[in-house]
Amino acid sequence: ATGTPAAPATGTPAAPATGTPEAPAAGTPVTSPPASATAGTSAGITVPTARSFPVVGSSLAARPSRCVATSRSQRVTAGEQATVRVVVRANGVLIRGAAVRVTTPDGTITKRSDRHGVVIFRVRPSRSGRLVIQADSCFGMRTIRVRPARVASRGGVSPQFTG
Amino acid sequence: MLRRLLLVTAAGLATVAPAAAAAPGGTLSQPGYRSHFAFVDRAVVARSAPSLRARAVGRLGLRTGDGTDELVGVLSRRRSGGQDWLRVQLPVRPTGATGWIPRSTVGELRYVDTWLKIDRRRLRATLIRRGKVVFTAPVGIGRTKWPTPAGSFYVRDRLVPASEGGIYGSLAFGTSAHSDVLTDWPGGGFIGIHGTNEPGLLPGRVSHGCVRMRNADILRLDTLMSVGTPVTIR
Repeated sequence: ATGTPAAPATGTPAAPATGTPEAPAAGTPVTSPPASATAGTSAGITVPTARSFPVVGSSLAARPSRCVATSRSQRVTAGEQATVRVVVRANGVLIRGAAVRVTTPDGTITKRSDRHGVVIFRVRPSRSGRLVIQADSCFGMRTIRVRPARVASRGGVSPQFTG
Repeated sequence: MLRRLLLVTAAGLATVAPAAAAAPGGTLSQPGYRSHFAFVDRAVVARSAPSLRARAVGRLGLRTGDGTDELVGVLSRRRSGGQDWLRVQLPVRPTGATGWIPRSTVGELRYVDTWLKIDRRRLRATLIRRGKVVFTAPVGIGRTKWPTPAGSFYVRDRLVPASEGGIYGSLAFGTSAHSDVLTDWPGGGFIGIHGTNEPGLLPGRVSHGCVRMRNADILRLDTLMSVGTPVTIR
């Protein structure tokens, strides 16, 4: 992954895969095609693939990712450790070995999905912003808001304790 | 101003250690060694037992009346009805109340290794860290008609008053304790631990229920203690 948007291997990146007669049943993990392979030939299925991570903010990463899923109730707060569980799935098929990148306000982390298509990131952002989650199996990205750090102390106030 | 505020915030959380993800089950409170607390993520009703059907004993919001994020002292953990529950100290009346809330409604469990003890008979405050006394100072407590409540509480927030010359002195810590007498006090009648502009009155029974210290003492305490610290008043 170089961070440079690569030309899609087949067709347009956002185009959904069509004609997947050999696609295994949903829930069956398949191996992510290697970077040099043409998408759709490795595992006998057609997967719209990025083969790299589009630059965050670019048009290729503008849409929500189709193959990356995270918990809807995921909360990330600056200064606190959060466990982000990412499932990589394309056309209903869990993708094994997909490279998944999380961009935090502090930097990026890249991991590969396990045989269940799952990647677990443990992050502790130092400041607020957003987490951007991308996979090399598809274009687009998922974002999670990083909430500001907890405020336990304030200055310049008038306390109302009993005194 | 913003910079000052950020520094103040950072100082308030500086000595707080985030709890390991694998915090132990069962008892989570060992004052003076490892006491857990957590910030509230979702407004929630605390129950008398770890069940959604149990009687409500209090309501937790996201913010304190002072504008800081609400936090609770965590006493223990139990799994019930398919989800994790925490028994927490509540900043509600009756003072010293505890209740059960779902684990999912609070954020990361953090811990402190400090414990502040207030002795109303000896008029002294003692801070214990990892089992050793690291600070002691004379204090002023509530007068007979406005007594400082006894019990187990926790430090809820840290406030730097706008004016150092005010009755709260240089610094004030808010606790989860309430005055049992001053129920209509602005802000709910919370008991604070703060400095003073009348150091000559200390030690003594001089306040409306708050614990007063000399400004030098409260500033030193600030370097040793953070929010979430258990407070025992006896």
